[in-house]
Amino acid sequence: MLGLQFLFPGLMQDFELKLIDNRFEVRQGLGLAPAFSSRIAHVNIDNYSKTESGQPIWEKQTYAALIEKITSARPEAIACDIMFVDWVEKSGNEELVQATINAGNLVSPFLLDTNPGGTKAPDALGLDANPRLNPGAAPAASGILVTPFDALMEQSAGLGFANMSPDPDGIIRRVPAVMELEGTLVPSLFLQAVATQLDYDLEEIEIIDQSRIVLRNFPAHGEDALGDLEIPLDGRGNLLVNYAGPLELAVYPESYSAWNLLTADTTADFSGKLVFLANTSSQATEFGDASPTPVASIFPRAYIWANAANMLLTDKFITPLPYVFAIAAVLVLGALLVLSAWRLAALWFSVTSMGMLLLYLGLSFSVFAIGGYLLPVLPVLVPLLVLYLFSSVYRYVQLEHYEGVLEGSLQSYLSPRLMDQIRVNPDILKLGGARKRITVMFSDLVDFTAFSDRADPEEVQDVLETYFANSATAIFSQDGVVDKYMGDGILAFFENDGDQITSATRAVDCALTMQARAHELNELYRSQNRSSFAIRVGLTTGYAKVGNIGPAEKIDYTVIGSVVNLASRLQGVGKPGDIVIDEDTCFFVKDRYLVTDLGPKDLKGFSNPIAVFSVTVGEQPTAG
Amino acid sequence: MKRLAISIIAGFVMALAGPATAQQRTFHYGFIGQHDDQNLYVIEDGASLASGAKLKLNFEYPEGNWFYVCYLSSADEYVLLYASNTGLDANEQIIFDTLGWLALDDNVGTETFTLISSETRLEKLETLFNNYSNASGKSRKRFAKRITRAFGDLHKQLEQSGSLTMEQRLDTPIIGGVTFRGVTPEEVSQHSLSHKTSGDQIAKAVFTIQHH
Repeated sequence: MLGLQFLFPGLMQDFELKLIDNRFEVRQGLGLAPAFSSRIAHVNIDNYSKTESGQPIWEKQTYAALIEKITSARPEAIACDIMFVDWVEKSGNEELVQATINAGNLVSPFLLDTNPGGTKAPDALGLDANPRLNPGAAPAASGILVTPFDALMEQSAGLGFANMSPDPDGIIRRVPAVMELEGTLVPSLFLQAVATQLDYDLEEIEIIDQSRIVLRNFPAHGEDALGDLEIPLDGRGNLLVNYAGPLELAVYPESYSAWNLLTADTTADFSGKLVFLANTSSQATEFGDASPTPVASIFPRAYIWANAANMLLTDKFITPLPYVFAIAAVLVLGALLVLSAWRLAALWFSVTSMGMLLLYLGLSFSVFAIGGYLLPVLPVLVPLLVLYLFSSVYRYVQLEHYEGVLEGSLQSYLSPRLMDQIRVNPDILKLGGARKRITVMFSDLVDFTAFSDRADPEEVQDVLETYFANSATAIFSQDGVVDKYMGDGILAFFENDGDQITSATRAVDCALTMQARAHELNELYRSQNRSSFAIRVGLTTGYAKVGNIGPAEKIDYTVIGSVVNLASRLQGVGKPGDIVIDEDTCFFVKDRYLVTDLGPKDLKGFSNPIAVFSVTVGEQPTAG
Repeated sequence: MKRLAISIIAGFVMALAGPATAQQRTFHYGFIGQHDDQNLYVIEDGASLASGAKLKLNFEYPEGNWFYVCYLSSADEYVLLYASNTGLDANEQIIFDTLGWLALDDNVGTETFTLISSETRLEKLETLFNNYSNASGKSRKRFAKRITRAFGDLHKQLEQSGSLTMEQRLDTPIIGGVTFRGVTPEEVSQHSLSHKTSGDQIAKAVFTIQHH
């Protein structure tokens, strides 16, 4: 995760932020967005107000009259999201201050400077009324950026900073709750507004750390029901705004057009309410008093404050779970993933892993929609995905290794041609096998028992290895299969290629090669004064069951049928150096080799005499 | 060795304290009460008085100083009862003044009087009281908090500068301002001053009455 974060820091962050927005959308779609408190109202200087008043830019006297009008509707507090800065034009200042005095509950905004070297706070800001705060307890501001004019600040019931914390993609998902300025706690506009509304003393705020603050004795449900209100923050002192939903009348609090209120077309009763006074006209949007949020691309900032205030009044917060949760989730789910990689087959491992990832994703959306918990998604899913890929690659490498071992093992039994067929069509190896016409070869060393009794074991081993190696080469060269080595005997078989019956001729060719090589070895051993060397070979052609046969614990690619017994018996009939074949084999090879009829023979295990032939080694039939 | 160190430190403290003492500002004050039989008496700090009880505040401060009498009622309402300056340079003359007779209303609780004599004008305090008196509703509460904080800061400032002195009860009341025929200094009169307080540049006294 750290590596990915290092490689693609912006990308990862953007995805994670986008996932937060998706959760808002899903929650809204499910109708689970929090409701707005009836204790919040809006008075908006909207486009209608601007048009009807005929004033593109309202004079301060008009604002003053509006504040007087709102005051007459007896609100508990008025949060003014319009900043009346000190300007050359002083006209209307007096009326505005008088309206503020008459209201006695107007909360004004100002802007903090978070860059180094900020201007010292003026006395009129009244920082001396704010609680003392230890440096570092909250995000620090260096000074003041913009304030209302002094007299207005003096007469305001409270001042809250209006700074917001846009995420790197410019979307407002969080706002700072409190900041530290000159050793004092400065509340955000929404917090000061609610504190003024509820007569809440800011001295009661306890800052635990930048992940949590507690409002002690907070009268969320009236003065008779004081309780501690814990506010979860994002670890940097910001409150994640729990947006009620898109800006629709059905969702948002009662809102009034300022002009209607001012001209008494509308009567209102703001008893007990916090009234946000804001400029929501398109002009304000042009001036940057609107921002993109997870629920709308253009959202008046005053409504962002209203949403934040709503969280305090309804106790509905978004709780970001800390990174330690992500670490724990990665460890637990990672362990399960590794366990499934170890215990489950490849398909089930993939299904389980993907299921686990999807389950976590679903969980993150569910707990957000239901409880407002914000689970880290990518910090959990990406490591798990990496772990999954790593496990898959590891399994693949392991499989290849085992396949290599298996193939190496098979290669000592199967011809390269058959190996190629198996690679193309692994179904050949399916358990059960198939009934086929084949030619079976049984080869045996002459007088091996006596030889092994008198010779050194090393010499016996040397003879056997040479014999087996030469035989295997000969068998494979004719696309035969070495079924098994039995002491000094070799059982092999040859399959046909499609409908063509070629197994018999290839088996005879193989046997001739083996006999020729045995003859050479005999010459060599005799020149070395060693024991003579000779083999006997029996060949039969007929139907048998070919394939993987046997119990699950020990499966052999082998051949089953009477042709095997017959080949073994025929081998015993011949003399050293002979190739003895049955009638069916003779049928397929008689035109190609010199075959001698040895007459019927009684063979052990067969009730009737068997017609036996031998292939003359070194002789070819005449043409025709 | 330890004793020597203590002596040196004590010497330093005395050396530092010396000049401060020389610049100390002193003022006198007295809360005078009147019994039903018209007899006058000195009200002590923390005294318990019933609603309707009469009281009178006398004070005497050096001319050229700024003098303030601030009152915090039992209903947490601030009032700047007195703010005065002769506008003349200090000439060791003494100004005597009085607030006249007051009667306690029906709001019971702690009544707090803060008396301040300062070499310089306490403009911030004056502005706060001025804004406080103009303000209404929750703005007014904010100013009240700022005034309380200003008093706290002043107390802390005096404490840190080492010029904070406890108010002293005089052995016998003195008469401020004028001499009244037939009244000896030891007797309590309408102009008696019973307490004294001093400070470096600023002298402050807090006087409370438990109103029941």
